[in-house]
Amino acid sequence: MSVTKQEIKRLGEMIYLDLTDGESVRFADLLNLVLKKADDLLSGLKDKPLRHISQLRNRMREDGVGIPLPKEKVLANAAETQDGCFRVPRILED
Amino acid sequence: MHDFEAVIGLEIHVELSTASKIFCSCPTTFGAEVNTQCCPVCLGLPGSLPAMNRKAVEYTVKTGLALNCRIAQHTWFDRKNYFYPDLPKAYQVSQQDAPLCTGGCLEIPMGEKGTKKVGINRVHLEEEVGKSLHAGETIIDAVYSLLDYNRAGIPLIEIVTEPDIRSAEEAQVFLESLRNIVRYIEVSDCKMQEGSLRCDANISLRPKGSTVFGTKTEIKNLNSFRAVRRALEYEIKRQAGVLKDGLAVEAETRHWDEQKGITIAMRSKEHASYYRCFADPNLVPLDLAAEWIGQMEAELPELPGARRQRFIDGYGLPEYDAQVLTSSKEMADFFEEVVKGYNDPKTVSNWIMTDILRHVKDQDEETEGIPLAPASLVELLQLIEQGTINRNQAKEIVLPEMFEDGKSPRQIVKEKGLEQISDTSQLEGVIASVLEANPDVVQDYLGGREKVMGFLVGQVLKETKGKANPRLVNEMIREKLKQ
Repeated sequence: MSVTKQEIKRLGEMIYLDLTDGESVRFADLLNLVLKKADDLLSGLKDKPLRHISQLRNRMREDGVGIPLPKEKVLANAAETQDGCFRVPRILED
Repeated sequence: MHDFEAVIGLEIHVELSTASKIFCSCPTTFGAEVNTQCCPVCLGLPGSLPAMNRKAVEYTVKTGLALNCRIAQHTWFDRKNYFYPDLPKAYQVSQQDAPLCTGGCLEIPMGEKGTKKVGINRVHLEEEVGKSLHAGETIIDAVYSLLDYNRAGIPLIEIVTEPDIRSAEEAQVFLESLRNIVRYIEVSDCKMQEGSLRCDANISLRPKGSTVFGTKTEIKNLNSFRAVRRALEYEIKRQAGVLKDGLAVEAETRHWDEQKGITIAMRSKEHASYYRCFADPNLVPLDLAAEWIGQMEAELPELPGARRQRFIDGYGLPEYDAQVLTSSKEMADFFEEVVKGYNDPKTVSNWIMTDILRHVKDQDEETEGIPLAPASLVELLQLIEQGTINRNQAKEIVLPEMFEDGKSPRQIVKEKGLEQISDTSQLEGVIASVLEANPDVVQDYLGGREKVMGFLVGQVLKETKGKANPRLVNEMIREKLKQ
């Protein structure tokens, strides 16, 4: 696995870092060193990497209805409320 | 649209009709007072732990089986991370990497063209998000938003089609067929007006004959089947206009404005969203044993395709009738109930497909089934057969009242004094005066012009204000003129 200069540039955009071309190349090279190490480690493994930490399977509950929290408790930690709802600041798109 | 071909794929979200939410025991009742169906789990409070609802998994698998999908033997749930206030946890539990069901298809009716197979890419299980109420015309204008988390955590399935749909009409037919199947297997009520079935559409155009995909746009806010069709028709024209002008279609999300009948650019999709998905450590993976899948398959009811064939083979109905009657579970159930009481399937089918559907169509497209008791249609048909009323009275007077007031046909007939006159002594005098008043017509009949009989019967009906039994009148006139 490796990353390209373009992927580093995109990563930078997502965290609002305006990277120059030189910086993107440098960070790509550095990250590729780390990724190479990881590849080397994985290639030595006999088993597949662990996807999930738990060895348990199929733990499910039946479809039964319980008692929800009273509304006052639901809203107790809200910074602001209005008409029984959580009031949040305006939602900004990126 | 001579030069371009539309390539459409749909993403449909269906809320499952479990009694409790996916990871907690909060109820899922629609329309409850805001924020009264929440608990620490669905509010994402620290320290709370989710427990998977078995029925949600079963409903998803059943949907996959009904859509001819492969069911995963091993699967898990991912956290899809994004920052938005309708997600109290700041992530949505979904199945980005291991959908429960993949690689299915749905065969949709295409009228005279036969049927068409639309591929199903995946059906996966995830959790519903909360409901946002924006204080403003649009989300962008809003100065603040209000959040109701009653909906957060209701089990939701996402059904993604392959880009196999080629027109707005096909998209609508696909959605109708899908809703029909989901209702047949009773995993959701699929009420679009309550948001339990929602659809986003991806659409691009390409030159006819090309196999390369064009740049697509995604249309959101499609709240009815009609909206899906109108929005796609609009978008096909818009993209064709852009391409004909030699410009490029922008990869973007567009909002359907129902009132203006246009799509509006919402945001660019230049970069695919990145959700930093990883397996949720609080939810253990699932291994689906073949026996369990087999059991769920055995529990599936008869699906629309099989029922259609049974209506043809078992009731001797034409293919068209069987198609229409099985296009909704409610209608097919209604038909079978009526036939139990009035064993003439073709007559029952004719009544449902013409007169009953005409009344049903006046209602909202989301109205479920036929708002009549099957027994009342049985009673109406028996009243016609017994000669108490004629077909016209049944169609024009009794049936509309049945829909309007819910009264029984017998009661309506009685209240309106519609009983036909089947007493020969009452009719003899009227027939005699009609024959006397129309000597020329009588002569024509006696001269061999059988057709004029209709006129004479009509005159008797007119005199009796439509109450005379036409069959009896016909017989009596013939008898009289023989003498």
